[in-house]
Amino acid sequence: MSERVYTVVPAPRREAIRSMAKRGERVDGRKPEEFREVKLEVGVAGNADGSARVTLGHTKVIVGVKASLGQPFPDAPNAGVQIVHAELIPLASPIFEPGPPDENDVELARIIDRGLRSAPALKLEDLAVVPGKQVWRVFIDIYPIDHDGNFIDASGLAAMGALLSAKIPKVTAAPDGTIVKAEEKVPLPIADIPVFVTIAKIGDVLVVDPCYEEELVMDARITFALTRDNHVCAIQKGGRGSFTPEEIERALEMALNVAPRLRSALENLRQAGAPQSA
Amino acid sequence: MPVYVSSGQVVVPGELVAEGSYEVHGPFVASGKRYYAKVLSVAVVEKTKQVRLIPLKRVYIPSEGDLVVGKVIDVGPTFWLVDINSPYTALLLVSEVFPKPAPQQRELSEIFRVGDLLAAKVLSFDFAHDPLLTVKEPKLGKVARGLLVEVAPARVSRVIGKRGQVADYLSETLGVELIVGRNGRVIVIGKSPDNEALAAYVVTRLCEKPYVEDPLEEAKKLVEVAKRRWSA
Amino acid sequence: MTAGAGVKLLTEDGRRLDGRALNELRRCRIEAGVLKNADGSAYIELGRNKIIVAVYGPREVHPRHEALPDRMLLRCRYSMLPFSVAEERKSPAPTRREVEISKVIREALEPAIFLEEFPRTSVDVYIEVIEADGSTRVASITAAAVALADAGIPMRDLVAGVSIGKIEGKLAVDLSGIEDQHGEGDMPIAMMPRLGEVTLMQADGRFTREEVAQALRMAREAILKLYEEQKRALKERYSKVLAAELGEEQ
Repeated sequence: MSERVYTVVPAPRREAIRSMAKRGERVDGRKPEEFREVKLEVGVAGNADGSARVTLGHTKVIVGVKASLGQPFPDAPNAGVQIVHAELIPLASPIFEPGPPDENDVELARIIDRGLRSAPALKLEDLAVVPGKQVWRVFIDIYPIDHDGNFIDASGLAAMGALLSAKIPKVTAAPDGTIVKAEEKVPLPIADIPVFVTIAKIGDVLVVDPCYEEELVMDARITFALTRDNHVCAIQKGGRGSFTPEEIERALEMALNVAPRLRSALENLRQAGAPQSA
Repeated sequence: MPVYVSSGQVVVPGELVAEGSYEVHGPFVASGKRYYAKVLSVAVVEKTKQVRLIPLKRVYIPSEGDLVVGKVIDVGPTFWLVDINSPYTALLLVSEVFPKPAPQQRELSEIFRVGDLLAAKVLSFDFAHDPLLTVKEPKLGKVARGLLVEVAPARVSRVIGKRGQVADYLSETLGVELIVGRNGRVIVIGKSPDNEALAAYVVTRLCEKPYVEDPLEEAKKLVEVAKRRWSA
Repeated sequence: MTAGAGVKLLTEDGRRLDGRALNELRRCRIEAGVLKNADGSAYIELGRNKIIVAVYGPREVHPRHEALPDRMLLRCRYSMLPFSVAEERKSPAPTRREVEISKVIREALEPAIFLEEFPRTSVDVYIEVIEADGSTRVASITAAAVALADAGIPMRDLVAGVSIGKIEGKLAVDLSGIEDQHGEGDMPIAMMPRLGEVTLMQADGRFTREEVAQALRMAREAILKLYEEQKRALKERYSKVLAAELGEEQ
């Protein structure tokens, strides 16, 4: 109940946001198709194998990647393992409560997991060290630390930033199956760089990258994960409202338009040889 | 008998502010004749051996008779739960609504719904009981339109000023109606969105600084600044 | 058996592995007011430790039956992000260690707070360790006190903490991860710096009576340095805001 203090939008404010949307205006002065400025920093958690912090408006998300050797999944014995975990910790917003993951934590983790997996971001087959026995298990942990809307897109960027900046020990398997870890570190094998773009529907209007207040008054949202060659590699519709098929096509077009700009920050990271700050 | 701070200086809780015959106003802790800050504050040293500590952040604590702007967050069988921007959520009982709804039309959400803004008065509050509100007086009740401006509750009295001078001045010069809630919520009702936005700007700016010596003068300055901005 | 066997923590000339003297703190940097949603917040870097703290409150207690009739309820949650540790990924579920540390941190902060000011409310302190390198509980306390002050919570003093360890038979200030792991003892201490009163004290390892007394003196000295950084962080944060407000109008 107490979170209603924060989540109930005053009626005049709700009306104002909805009528602004009709006029093509937004609460923070953006255009409907405009993504907020993105800040991407890597190497923010030195004990992680890779890490990144993304700032999107006031939204801040930290992602850390840790890899360890372990057993493969029985249904994919010759591939590495990707595990995505997300936690909406109470530090980030008065509306989050401590406790075991709820449906929102799980949904966020699973959207990111699907987008990364189907792109695919990681070449999981290259992460098998001794096929069937020893593979790299890559944990991707997502932690929002300040909430101003659109955790999905920010988390996707931070997850990719963390993966691109990650370094793991170079390992070799001796013929007898023992594994030798070298001092030398190598980047993770990356196949694609998917980005996530979320579109909110406010009345009849579609807006890209909703801020928190827009999320509170929106009817529904839809997220597309997009590969480098403009394929859709994950979709998630959320919220109580609905979309017409035409709206979904329009939303996808909006997403495709902003994706290259979002990806360029990640591409730069890759070209820079993914330096990890100390 | 020294003073250890200067005007405009930020002081942290537990910091020694003054000693001896100084008079300290605002939240402080005394130990003998030594005065320490109790909350994060800005110090203002006044000429007559006085130090004023102005808290940088302070929550709204309701007080009987305060006009507040509340937000309905739940509807019960005989009451509404109203958020008043305070750690203490308020109750508005059906008996405090005029005209009193007949028992058969007690579908309370037909009167006030979740999300509605209310101009209300605090009937009673002590720390043992939740604050009770009333909307039975003239000018109280649902706020149908207008722009909501949120400012620091500790500074909102500036928007009213001595004997309402500042509020009167702003209403007249800017052509808006103001509902100034002691809980830091101000409603600006104007003839046009532009008109409201200008007034909202002045109200926001007026409450930004921790200390303003003459709110009316400050308001006049800000109106000039705002008018230049809006005409540019 | 001595825990330190095998790993040399002090050089011939008495320096520690990172070059510090025995009574030397690692570089400490605190930033106040770093989050938008929280009522108060702080970020601390102590050596390689990186910790963020958010404070929410005073606010209505949830669930309501936990509310106290005569004072506010202080709650603390210390947690380490899964990738914050040098070892393998830590499970995100709270460990017994985190539960205990949350409790002692709360009890380290409580003496400094005027709890009776806002009855039936809560103040929640959320601590997330982003990168850990020894002494995280005391660094968390140092940052939490800044976040509480930043939230406008009434306090009689700040609280700052430091760990005193025993390495190769000598007392040392502010243990790093490797010193904690291979040293002979760890004694985290927190104090209200102005009042000089101890609000947290724990120890593992063996210490003589004289060593306990010496540890308290060393802690006091280090805590006063941390206190200066706490004050700087709070003052700088708000002096900047004040300057910006005054400047813009001209």
